[in-house]
Amino acid sequence: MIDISNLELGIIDPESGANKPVLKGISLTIERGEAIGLVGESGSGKSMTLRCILGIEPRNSAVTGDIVFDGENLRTLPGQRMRRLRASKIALISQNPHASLNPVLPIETYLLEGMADAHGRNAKAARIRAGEMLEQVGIRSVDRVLKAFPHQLSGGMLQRVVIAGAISGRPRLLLADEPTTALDVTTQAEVAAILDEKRRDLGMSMIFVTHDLDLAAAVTDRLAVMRYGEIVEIGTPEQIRDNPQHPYTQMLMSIRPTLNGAPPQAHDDGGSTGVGTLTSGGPLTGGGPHDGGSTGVGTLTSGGPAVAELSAETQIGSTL
Amino acid sequence: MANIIEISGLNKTFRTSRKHEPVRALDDVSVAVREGSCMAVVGESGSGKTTLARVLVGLETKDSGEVAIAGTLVTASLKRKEQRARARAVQMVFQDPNGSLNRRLPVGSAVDEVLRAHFPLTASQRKQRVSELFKSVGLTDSHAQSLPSALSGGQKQRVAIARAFAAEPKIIVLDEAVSALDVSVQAQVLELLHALRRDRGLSYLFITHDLSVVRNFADDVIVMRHGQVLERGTADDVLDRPQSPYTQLLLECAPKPGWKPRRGVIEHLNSEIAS
Repeated sequence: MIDISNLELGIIDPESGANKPVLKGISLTIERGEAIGLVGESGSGKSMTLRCILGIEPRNSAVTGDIVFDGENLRTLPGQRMRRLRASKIALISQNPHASLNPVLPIETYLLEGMADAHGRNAKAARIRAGEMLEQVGIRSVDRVLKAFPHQLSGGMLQRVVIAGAISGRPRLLLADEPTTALDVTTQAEVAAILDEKRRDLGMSMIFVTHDLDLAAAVTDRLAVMRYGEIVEIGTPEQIRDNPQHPYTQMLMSIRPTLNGAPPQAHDDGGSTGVGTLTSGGPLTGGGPHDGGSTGVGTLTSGGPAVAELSAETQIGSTL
Repeated sequence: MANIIEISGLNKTFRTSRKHEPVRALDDVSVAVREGSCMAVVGESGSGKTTLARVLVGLETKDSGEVAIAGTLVTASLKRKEQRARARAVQMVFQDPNGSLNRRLPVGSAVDEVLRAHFPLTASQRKQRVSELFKSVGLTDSHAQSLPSALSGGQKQRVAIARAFAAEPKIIVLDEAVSALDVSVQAQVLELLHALRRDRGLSYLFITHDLSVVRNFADDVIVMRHGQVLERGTADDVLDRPQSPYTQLLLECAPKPGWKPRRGVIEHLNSEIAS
């Protein structure tokens, strides 16, 4: 269905010409109808991978590697062909629905535009179809929503509209980039359920980008754990949860807060013990790519990424 | 142990426009926080949790009700000196650290400003204190001299924590202070907050939407919805034996191992609450 092989992306500094690697050889194959979760922390390259598939990576970047979708290499496809493909076969749902919606046009225009563009339907048929799509994503007051402007609807409602728009063209591949992260937890459950149901009904493949391992596990068949531009581990949600192989995955699993009383067992990820520990008056922990920075440019670190490595001691459950 | 915060019968309404009914952001809210404990306030957007924090800190006025901090009732008739003491006693850390940092000034100046406002210190004494405060949150002097843009999100949040601690408060209000951080950074910041509380006997009001953080970080919790407190108790009691259907729904909707999202849960809740 889609075959990504050895995808590399570097951001070129316009002044020095230096190449800062963001993706370091991503290889990933997604079968027809399969959903795969890309999980990792900020700066791991999850979103950038999606951008490469769509051909919308930043201007000053150098990309190598192949992305073969239905027998065509997206990295070498002419602009016009790529545009047709994006309109009909690949759809993107981003974290912020406002990014997809024009604030001065009603919802109706957004939905009709997509349908007319991709399938050449006439206006009347498209309007009926738009109403049907909204019903499918659980919107009751279809007429009111069609006439509404984006600012008049809640985030959960808008994200449903964007999902309706994304699936209306029956794309083969759905790219979902943190689609529920900005939503309340109850709304997230509802929107994730809708997305999962519609994707299965229509037999679409999906790449689901999130930082939430449990959420990804709930809506995908396989998980790929990313860190610093590489896939460190790939497996079924059960494998990743019950038997993580890579130290980074083990760290992610052990460190996240859980609802259960007993926190998961701490582990030793080897060699870095103590470096990441933070106590009042304690030593400086490195601010490497781990530290929530989106770019890492200019961060003050006393060492490389290894310094920011989290030790078992930072495992919060055991200390509280 | 004595209560460091006592809030009783607090009401706050916002008038959005003439056409619409006023919004009841806080509807008869009462909360007591034991000295040295961490009280979590859980709720979704529009529940009133942030309004509660803002009234407590003094960023918002109340319509009615009483707020007492360390046994002293906070009223509009407080003298200037008392108001200052109140301002110092309650500090706040926000979700977005950029809000408390000037992007043109080194981050150390944000901490220095607090020291200047509250303590009679000389410039060199303040410099020394800024250095100590940065050290206590795991940062160095060179961090203090950097602009916000040179720091990562986790580092900036530590500066915001250092800024809050600079006032030597009794209470720190953490409004989604770790929500935007990656899990590994979140764990570090939570551990830092825990250590600082233990060492200095502070009390926290911890506002969050994340129940799993509540489990690992808070002693007590209140669950809010539409401006009302629906449930209260120790964190373990509320999470293990939730009484309110809404708390049960929040727990059911939180992703966990083996969890699957289900459609219709919100409608189910609304019908249950209506009945």
